[in-house]
Amino acid sequence: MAGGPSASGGRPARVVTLWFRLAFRNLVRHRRRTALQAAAAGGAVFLAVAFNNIAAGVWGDMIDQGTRAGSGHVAIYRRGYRTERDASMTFAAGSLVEDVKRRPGVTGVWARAYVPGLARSAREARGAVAVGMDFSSETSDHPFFRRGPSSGRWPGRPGDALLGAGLARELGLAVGDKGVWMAQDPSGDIASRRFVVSGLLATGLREVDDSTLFVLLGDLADHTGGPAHAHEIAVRWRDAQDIDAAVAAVSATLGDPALEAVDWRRAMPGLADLVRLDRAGHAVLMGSLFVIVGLGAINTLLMSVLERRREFGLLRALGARRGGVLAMVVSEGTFLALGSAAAGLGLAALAGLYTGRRGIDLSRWVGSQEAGGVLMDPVYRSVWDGGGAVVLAALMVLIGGLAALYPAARAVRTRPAEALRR
Amino acid sequence: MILRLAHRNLWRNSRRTLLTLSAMGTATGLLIFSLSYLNGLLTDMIESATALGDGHAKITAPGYLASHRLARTLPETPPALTGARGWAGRVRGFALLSAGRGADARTQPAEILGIDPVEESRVTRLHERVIEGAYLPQTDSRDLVLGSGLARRLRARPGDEIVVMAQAADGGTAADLWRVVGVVDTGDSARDSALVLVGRRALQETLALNGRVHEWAVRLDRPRDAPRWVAAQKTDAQRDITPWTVLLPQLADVLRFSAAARILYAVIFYFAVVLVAANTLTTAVFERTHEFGVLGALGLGPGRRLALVVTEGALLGLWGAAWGGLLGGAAGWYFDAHPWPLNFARFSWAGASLEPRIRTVLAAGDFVWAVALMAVLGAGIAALPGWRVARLRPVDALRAS
Repeated sequence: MAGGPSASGGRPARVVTLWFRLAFRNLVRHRRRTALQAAAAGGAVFLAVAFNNIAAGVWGDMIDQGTRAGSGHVAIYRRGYRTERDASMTFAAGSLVEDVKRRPGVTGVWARAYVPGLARSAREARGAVAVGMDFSSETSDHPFFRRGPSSGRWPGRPGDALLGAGLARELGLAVGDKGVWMAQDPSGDIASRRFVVSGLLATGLREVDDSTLFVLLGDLADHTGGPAHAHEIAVRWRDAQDIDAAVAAVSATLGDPALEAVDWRRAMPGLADLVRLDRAGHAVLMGSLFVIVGLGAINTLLMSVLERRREFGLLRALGARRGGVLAMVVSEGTFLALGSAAAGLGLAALAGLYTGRRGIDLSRWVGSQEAGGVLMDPVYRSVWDGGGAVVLAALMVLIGGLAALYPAARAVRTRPAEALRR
Repeated sequence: MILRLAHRNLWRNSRRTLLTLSAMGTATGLLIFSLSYLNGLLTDMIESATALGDGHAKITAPGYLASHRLARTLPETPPALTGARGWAGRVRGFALLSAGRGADARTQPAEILGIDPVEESRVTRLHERVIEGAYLPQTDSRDLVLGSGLARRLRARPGDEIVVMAQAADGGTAADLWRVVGVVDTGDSARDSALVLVGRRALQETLALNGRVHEWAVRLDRPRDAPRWVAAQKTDAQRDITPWTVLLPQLADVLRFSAAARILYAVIFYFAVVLVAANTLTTAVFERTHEFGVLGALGLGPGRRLALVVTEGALLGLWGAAWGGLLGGAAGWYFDAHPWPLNFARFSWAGASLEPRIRTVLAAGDFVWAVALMAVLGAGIAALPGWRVARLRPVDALRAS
């Protein structure tokens, strides 16, 4: 057992307390040095946790936007559609939508069809994708539609089309004008259909604004094979963190083996990998910061140990065992890291109150940015990532303890007679 | 003398000096590497958007970029340009492409780019991205090269025939049979799903645009020079000249915002090291109170004592910067020469496609900035303990010790 003279009395708890008290007193004795090292370690925890919270907010926002505009948390497709994007790979969505809606945990279900074709006006023609959907249920939840049409109204009657503002400009069409939609039908022939521009939409996403027209799902029946046929059913789930349960629940409703239910990460690999890569970059950045702080902690503790050779010699001469001295020095590093981590966490929580409510507004420097197919808000709002904060703080405490090992090893090697002679 | 003294003082406690240097060097190295990585990312983004897309600038008929009307054209005669590395005339059209027959037929919309393969190779690197078959042989044949996504959706391969139905400039509809000769992959999945390259002369015939082009794409030596190059060109009511920074405003925003990201990296990496070095120097100075008392008694004035401590800090900063410069420079050079592929899907950002890889571009400015900042910080950190040493009265210092 590690301990001093009193250790032989068999009261380990008191001995441990003694070393802890000594460690604590050593930190207090050198206030300036302790304060500087605590500022470095606490500042690192603050930076790491605050950045992690902002990053978690941005990632969460991107995923939320992406899942609302794209696949939902879980999407149903005909097998092969995700890779082929073959317009003929549709399925009857009507009853399936109702079945999925009845599943506990499901908060929204939308059937959509995506038909690539040619939109024509009297003067121009442009390649575009006609998105068939149910406007009565999508307009409140879909991020493209929250602000409403930039002019005109939602499609409500058969033949109505909501055109991306860029596409309308290219075709020279305005609200009320007529155009023609040409695309392949299930037999392989080209089917044409007239449309009336009911409204225009400006999302800020070039791909949407320049090459998309939104129509009622039933209007694409000539191309999809039926009025309720779709390429995708997007499902929103109550808990975005519990995706596996969502996939299992949705998969259980599929009676057709030709259909598959996949989570958003497989349905939107570009977005998923963007978030994954950003997370990895963030981890490397924070890891580097902690390495620098760790080197600083070794330095500080080493200086402290080298200064106190005489003290260690005296302790050893009084009967302190090597384990006790080791525990004392490691405790100093750990206490310092614990206090710093707590202070850093507190500061990060305070900063989070501001960045969570007001956000960091970058709109003066950058506009809305497209990333991974979603439009990022230039105001970055943080969320409190409790798990991440605990991991980062614990990592700092671990670094503090590990950084103390080398100085502690130096301290225990002190030979009492030699140290007292100096 | 001050320099020699400072040097000797630092190496009197070599372990402490080495530990401090390792923190400073690591921070400098990481900053240089991070800035190189950021440069690599931006270079990849600009490359994907310009060298595989629109070039560094475009010359078009007035209003063409706002609305790509078929009739808004320029003469096919190459424009007189100074300071450009290359230019290529292009014709753009929009069409439905159909491959296969009956129930196996596949129809997809596409943007058809009519190019002269020789001219185009001076502006873009599309010819280097052929993954199947061949590049366009000439400008007047009915051959076409499909983007990889489009080829997959049409289930078309080199040798297959494709029906192209397009609206011509005279209002009529042209439907012709073309032959696939190759498939290109630009890395941008959205672009590859709708890209068709054909010979310019052949497309001019199809769209009834003989002797006319829609745009001249221009390549410069350096993409970042585009706005300045455009501003230096003669203004002309018959044509618009637009740099990529205007064509791709989101990407230009990213480039502008990268300056703030550089400062953020410096704050993250240097924040901790400043406190670590401040700690070391302050402790070192307090340990040597007696020594400074003796130096003062021997006639070393306050200014020189301050200079001694600041020189120690500056030397630490310089050595740390040199060490870090070596580390960061080596890593930056290595990943520039040998980009490291990552197991990620390609994704888009700000209208550009990102290669999933670690690729650095070591810029001299970033290197000098990171190294100089660390050297200056070293001297700056030492100023406070130096000031205390300067104010120290030799008698008090000797008595205290």
